[in-house]
Amino acid sequence: MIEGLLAALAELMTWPTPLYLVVGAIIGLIVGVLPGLGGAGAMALLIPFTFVMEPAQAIAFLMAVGISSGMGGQVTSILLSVPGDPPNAATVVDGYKMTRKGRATEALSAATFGSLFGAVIGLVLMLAVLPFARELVLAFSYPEFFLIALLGLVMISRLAGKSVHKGLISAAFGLMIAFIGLDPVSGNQRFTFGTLYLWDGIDIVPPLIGLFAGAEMIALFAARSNMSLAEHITDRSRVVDGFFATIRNWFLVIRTSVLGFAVGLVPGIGGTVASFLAYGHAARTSRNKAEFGKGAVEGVIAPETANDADKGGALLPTLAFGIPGGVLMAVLLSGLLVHGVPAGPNLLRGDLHIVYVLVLAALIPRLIAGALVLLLGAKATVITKIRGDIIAPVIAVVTLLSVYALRNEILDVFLVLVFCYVGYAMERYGFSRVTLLIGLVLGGLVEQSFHQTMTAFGALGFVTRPLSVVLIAAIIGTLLLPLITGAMRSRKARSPHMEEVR
Amino acid sequence: MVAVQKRARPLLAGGAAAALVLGLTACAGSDAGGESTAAASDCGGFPDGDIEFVVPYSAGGGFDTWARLIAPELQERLGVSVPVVNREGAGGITGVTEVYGSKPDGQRIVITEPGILATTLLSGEVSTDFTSMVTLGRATVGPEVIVVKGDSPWNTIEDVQAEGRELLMGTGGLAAVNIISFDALGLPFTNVVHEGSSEALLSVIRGDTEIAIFPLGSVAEGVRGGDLKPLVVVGSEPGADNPDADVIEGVPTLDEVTGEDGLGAALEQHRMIVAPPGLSDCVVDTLADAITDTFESEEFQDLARDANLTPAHLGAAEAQEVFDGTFVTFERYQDLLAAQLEG
Repeated sequence: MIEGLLAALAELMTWPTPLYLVVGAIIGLIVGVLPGLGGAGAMALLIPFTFVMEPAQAIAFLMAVGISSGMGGQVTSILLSVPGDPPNAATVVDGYKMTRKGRATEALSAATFGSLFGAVIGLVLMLAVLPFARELVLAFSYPEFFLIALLGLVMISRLAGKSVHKGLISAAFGLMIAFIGLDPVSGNQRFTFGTLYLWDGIDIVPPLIGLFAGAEMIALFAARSNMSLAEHITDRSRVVDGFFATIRNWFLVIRTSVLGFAVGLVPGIGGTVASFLAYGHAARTSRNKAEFGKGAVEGVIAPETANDADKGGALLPTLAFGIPGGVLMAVLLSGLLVHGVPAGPNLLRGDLHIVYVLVLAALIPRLIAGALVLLLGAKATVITKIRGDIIAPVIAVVTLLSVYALRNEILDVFLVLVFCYVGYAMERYGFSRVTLLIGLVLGGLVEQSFHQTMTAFGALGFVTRPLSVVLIAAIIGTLLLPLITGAMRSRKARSPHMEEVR
Repeated sequence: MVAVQKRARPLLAGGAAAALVLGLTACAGSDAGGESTAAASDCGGFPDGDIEFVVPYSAGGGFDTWARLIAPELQERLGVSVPVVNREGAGGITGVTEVYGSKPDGQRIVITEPGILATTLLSGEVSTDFTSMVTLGRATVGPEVIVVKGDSPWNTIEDVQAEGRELLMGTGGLAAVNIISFDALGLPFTNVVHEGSSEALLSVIRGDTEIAIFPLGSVAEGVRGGDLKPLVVVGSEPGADNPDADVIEGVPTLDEVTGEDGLGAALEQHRMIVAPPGLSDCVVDTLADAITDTFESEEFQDLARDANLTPAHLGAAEAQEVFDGTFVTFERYQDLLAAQLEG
């Protein structure tokens, strides 16, 4: 394996491939910064440009674009509350709060190192399980999909904020939105009002942009002061703070990496689900739970780690079956096909060279993009010092334009505007925007995998598979853990001499 | 003052970034000019400005790749810009509906497939009369393949028919090709819906569903690797130049199994370029000639081969026959489709 990786490295370091890696990383960063257009979309548009390249160069270039966009997305998520890519959405919650508190550099650095560690762990896991990739991918079926989604919904209770009721109301609202569109089983229209626009349901991007970016822009205006994005003008945090925060949370990094990797393994569930699950997991297990939603660095590390580790997992179904583990992989696969590189069973049985090229092509651009984020991102924090009434309109225009350009759909722009006010109102009256988004992201998956299980396995299918039993145990554990720790803590409180331990 | 300049920099950087990406997006379809061969004057000034080439799906898919391959060629031959515009939505219906409603002046064309239009029309979900649209030519045609798990005990479709029970079919949403071909084969089924073809095929490989029908291109790798076994080809035998032709060599076609002539051809996927109803003959001819000329050029054929695509061009008149034929065939099955699609 080591020789294989070295040979792949030698190929990637042969001129002009390094140039493609750097250019790809820069394009990916820019695409990531723009809300809406994600890495996969950019890769799709760039495939024609790779026709003239050698297969390894094309892979390197496409991977660089797709991989780096997540790193660009985290910058706007943290600095401007604009999720550049849907998988960065969970980062907004605490990342932007950190910016408001003058810790933007620390947040950026924590996100970057979280991404890097997540990526490395994800790829190492991928190489480790490569020999039994097929069995692993086949182990996940409908009941597991359903239970993964349920696990995500269960975490909502922890993220609900002060009022559990309000949290549940917003989650239910999110689920309602998720059920708009054609019924996946019968094909009947639901809440479409007869318009074609609502047939496919509500795309994740407009609610995401509206709820986070839009609501914050309105809040800036509503404050009617010279306030800038950051409440504390001086950003005293440093890059090393973020690095050490990541190191300090090494166990969280490992757990969320494994989580992201496992989610990536499942075709059809992507980085967005991974990052929300990781965020929920971090919020449940963190020692300073009260800080969550108010600028906890764990809330930045967890989603960013998970949504990069997930790409290691997503490579497996792509390589083992020629079946993409997500949109990004689907585009990569069509890129590979164009270059006559057949993914699928024969690839793993034969020469693994192209696999090693893929792994390194997934890693090197991250290092380049990470370095750029740390160098330029820290400088970009000056944006947060510009007066709100000047910067907010600029952000609004760029954001709305990007949303329109994504699908050439003007109704998407109106939807963003609607969700701006919804988000602003929710924030004002103490409803959780995160639980709404989790409901929205997981709603379709819950419904579809429920029907699939019932049709293919019957109701017993949920409980008669080993992996599903493990997941059920995790769900029950998640539900009961606060009760148990709460009981233990109250016992500790009763015995005063134990108090010093905490 | 220094502070102000410092503030300005990131903003500029953002603007430049946006410009770069927009530029990249445009690259695929710009570079206008070239030699103009079309007779511009005899069609009431057609073409008058850009011709928008609508793709009713997202970038990167099969329809998109074809459009992006053809657009620069049309540009060269018609002498105006032919930007490719992705208008996804409602499973490929939104984009077509928009072009249907556009002015019939030839400035807006769309790449689509009659099967999906006929299904949508017959399901009664939309009132757009797609049958009146004008066909400009067919780009390609691809058969659909009925597959089972690679190590399944079923080796022929007769083995499956002998089971005499309801099958679990993995689909990415129920389409006419599923309903009609399985009805013709006398195979009752229960539909297990998936996000898309990838997830559905994986469910067949896992053994959670028993059978599926998907385009040749989607199943080819699975068949080569032994994960999937092809039982019936729905459509015509692909030409030898199709890179996936080896996968279905010797597999019987739907017509052979059922004895219904031409049913497979009506069910396979014909990718066509169509325009709004009421387009004048002169404009139709100009556009259709440019498309024909494109497909006849060696240069374009090389390009398509490089992109792993197999052209199967039909001129406007022949394509229109296939287009109309699809609606006629599907209408025969209207009651069946309505019953199944309403679930």
